[in-house]
Amino acid sequence: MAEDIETKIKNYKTAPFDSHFPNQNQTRNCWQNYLDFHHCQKAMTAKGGAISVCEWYQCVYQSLCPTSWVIDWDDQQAESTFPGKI
Amino acid sequence: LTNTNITDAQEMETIWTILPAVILILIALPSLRILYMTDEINNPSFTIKSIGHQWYWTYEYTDYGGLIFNSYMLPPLFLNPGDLRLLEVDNRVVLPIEAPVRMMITSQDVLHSWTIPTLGLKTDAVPGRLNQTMFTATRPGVYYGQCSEICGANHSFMPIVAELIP
Repeated sequence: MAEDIETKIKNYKTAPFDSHFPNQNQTRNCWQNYLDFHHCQKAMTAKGGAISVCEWYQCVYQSLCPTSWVIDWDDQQAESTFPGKI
Repeated sequence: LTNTNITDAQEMETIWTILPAVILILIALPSLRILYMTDEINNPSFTIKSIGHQWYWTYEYTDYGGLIFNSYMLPPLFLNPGDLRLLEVDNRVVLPIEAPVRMMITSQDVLHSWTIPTLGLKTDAVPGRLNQTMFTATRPGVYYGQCSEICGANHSFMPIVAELIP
């Protein structure tokens, strides 16, 4: 399974179609992948596992989310004012 | 209105109500089928973000790194002979042809709308929302559009120019 993920990450071109978010409004898609990356990173760090498996979510949110949104959310996390649950 | 020739025609009234309803249903069903078919799933090969500001666009190419640039209208004094007034920009958004492209459109301040009529594209740029539009261009060339949602004093002076290359 880890090998599949690594192959997927290696062959990454852009965020693929996600059937959870089939419509025009992709705000939630961006938000969810950002959250998923940080959840994954937190969980893998706690278990002592490889964070590289979380890169998929990072690639997707970097493709989808405007940079200013990501910067704002990163700043909020640093200030502990981030509204999402990580 | 009391003439008996024009009253109590129950059968005719039933027919000319039911028949048009049936005809409309027969028109609507294939039409809806085609409408849903146009919303096909196609995995894009490329994602570009377009962020509207007062009064310019920012384009972000972040699939393979972080190329981000602003696109301002060229004032008339800076135009070259042959350039189009109020349509040329300093940095065009460069896109490939023959590849499904996904545009993610949003705004940093007020409502804008990202439009390229000759490509059949118009998507609103709404602050706090990320709208997606996809297209596959087939012909190379330079395509122009203008902001299509009133956004202040220079709403007419923030054009969109897409350069499609093979």
